[in-house]
Amino acid sequence: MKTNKLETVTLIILLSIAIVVPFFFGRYLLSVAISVLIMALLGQSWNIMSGYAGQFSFGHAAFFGIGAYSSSILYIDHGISPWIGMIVGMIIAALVGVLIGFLSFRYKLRGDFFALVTLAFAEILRVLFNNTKALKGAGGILIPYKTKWTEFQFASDRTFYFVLLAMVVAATVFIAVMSKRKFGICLVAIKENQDAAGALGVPVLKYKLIAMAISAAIAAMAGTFYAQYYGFIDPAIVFAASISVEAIVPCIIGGAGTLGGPLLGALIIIPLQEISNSIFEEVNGLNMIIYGTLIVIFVVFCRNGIYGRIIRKLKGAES
Amino acid sequence: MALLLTAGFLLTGLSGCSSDNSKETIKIGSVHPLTGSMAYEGQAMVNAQKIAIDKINSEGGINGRKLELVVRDSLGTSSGAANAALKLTNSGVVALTGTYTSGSAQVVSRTAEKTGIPLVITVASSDNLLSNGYKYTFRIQPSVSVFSKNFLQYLSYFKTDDMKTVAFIYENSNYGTGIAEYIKEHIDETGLEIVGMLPYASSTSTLSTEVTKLASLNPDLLVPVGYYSDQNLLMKEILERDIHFNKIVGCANGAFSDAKFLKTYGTQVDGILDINYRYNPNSEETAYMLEKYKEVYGEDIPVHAIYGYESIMVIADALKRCSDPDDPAALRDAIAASKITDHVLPQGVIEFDEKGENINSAGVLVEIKDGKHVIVFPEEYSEKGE
Repeated sequence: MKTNKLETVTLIILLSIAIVVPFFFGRYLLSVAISVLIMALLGQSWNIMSGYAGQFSFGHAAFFGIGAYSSSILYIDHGISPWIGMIVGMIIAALVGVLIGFLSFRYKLRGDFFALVTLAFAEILRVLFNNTKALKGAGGILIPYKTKWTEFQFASDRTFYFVLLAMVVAATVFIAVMSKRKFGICLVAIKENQDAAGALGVPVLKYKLIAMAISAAIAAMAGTFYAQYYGFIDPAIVFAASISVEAIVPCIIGGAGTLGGPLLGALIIIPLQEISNSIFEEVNGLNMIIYGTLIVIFVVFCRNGIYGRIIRKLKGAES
Repeated sequence: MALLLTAGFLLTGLSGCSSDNSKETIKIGSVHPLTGSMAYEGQAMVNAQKIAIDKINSEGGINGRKLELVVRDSLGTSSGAANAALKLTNSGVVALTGTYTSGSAQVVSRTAEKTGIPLVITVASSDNLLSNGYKYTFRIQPSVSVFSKNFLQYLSYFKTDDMKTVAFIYENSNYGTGIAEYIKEHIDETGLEIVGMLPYASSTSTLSTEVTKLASLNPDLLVPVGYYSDQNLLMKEILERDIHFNKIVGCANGAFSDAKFLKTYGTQVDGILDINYRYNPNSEETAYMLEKYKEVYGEDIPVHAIYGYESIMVIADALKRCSDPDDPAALRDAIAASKITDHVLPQGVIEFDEKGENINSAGVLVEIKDGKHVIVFPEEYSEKGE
């Protein structure tokens, strides 16, 4: 119980810092902070489906892209506010998630095979959007730069930051509540041993699909934010494999299946990338080397991630 | 963990607070992909920019003050480019240059607009790039529609009376599709009949089926549009299977105008034409640029890098005319009022319209003769070939 309290306190301190710091940040640091939060949100999304429920996804870009495209197409072609578009995008992404899940689980795909299916779906969507004129094709969508909050556009990047922070907090609180409820506990049971969980009466398929839907919806939310903040999307950007990787990496570094893991992971990776990029300006690609080395180190020596490791240590000390 | 958070941000922040020597040097920011699949092109553009900076500094700089190029890697992604651009604006640059891909250019032009620091686009060809009404973005490179128009204009040079049919093979992103579709819309003006439109993904590992199809269509004119690696595949396939096409004319082809392409195929590709960006062979400035690039970097300047060089020249010219070189808004106005006659591009005066588009931007028709690139059209820029 002590560990849980410590965790809550830490996260609240972290949140208060996150609320205060933007007032001391210039445009650049704010932009970096937004990169951190986008990665954190994607990480939390991946965390639900893959960290807690153990269904490893390598194609979160599919949901991210659906979110970005849904809101942008509704906005550009039909003048519907991206706030509403975001919700539509989340619903579509959730449905697509359920469809992918149902097809895969129906044919009993697990582990690596399931991961490959998600990867394939992201690629299919990329090609589909790239070649469909009605979906704006390869040219992508340009979001006009206005400063109307009703259209998800703000004059100040600080407002963007707080909107995104609210999304990350909502996702984190959701996971915190979920992990204490029956649903969350069942997800972990499914991850540990799907057959045993099923034998004990856990509705495996249903729970897996729900986890996928929630996860997809959160990724779609990140997608809409991305489109509105950066102002331009095309299939090569939002359905890129690098987006899928961006969802996974913070979880690996921070710790998959933990509440704060993806947050910590994002907080380490993005600043590290920026710092190495600034310090070693003349050495291009050093940030990539650091990135790669870090992932290898974590996969080999620290499978539970930094956050996961600390939690385990604390829990170990408790018992 | 909280400490870690603040430490991380502080560190990133510290490197942003550079010392105040702005009274001595004038900083220009450069955002290009220096890692990833476009690193070669990005680096070449930065290299050419450095040569331009050195030239201006050796000639006394801007009213005695030296120029300094501050380079940041865009990582080839939109978010990377946004962070890089903001980092540069934080370190006191008066202008930005970049970015090679249209996606990144969109994002950086938004940054330029928000921060009020002018952006001169080196290379990014998407047509809708300047459609946002931004005041702080300028582009010197010909856009997709300019290249397509050039194709129609230069047609008279290579069109023979018995040339009746045409087929397009093009990569399916914004750039390839944009060019092919534009020409298709205006094909009636040419008197040609389209017998095939073959799109492909630039990431493809073979164009074998496409080439088979092209061989059976046997058009009088074949127009390939694509990037270096895929167009290289296309040529390899055509040569290996010894298929003869009456005439091949690329449009903004990533391979045909590249020096590496000639190294690979030599005289085998003689007679191929390409409408592309290139230097003005008659300008003294060009001679300097070509020689200096080869001297410093040991290879011929890649064509897109020419625009890196010119971007610096455009900014330097504006800085010289500008009332206060430390004021980005004044610099913006000076760039907008540019009228540059002495430059390396094969076009008339460099001046910008109200959107920020280089009004006279144009490509030239390049022919491969005896394994060398020779500009053949328009006449004022044509080379004799060595």
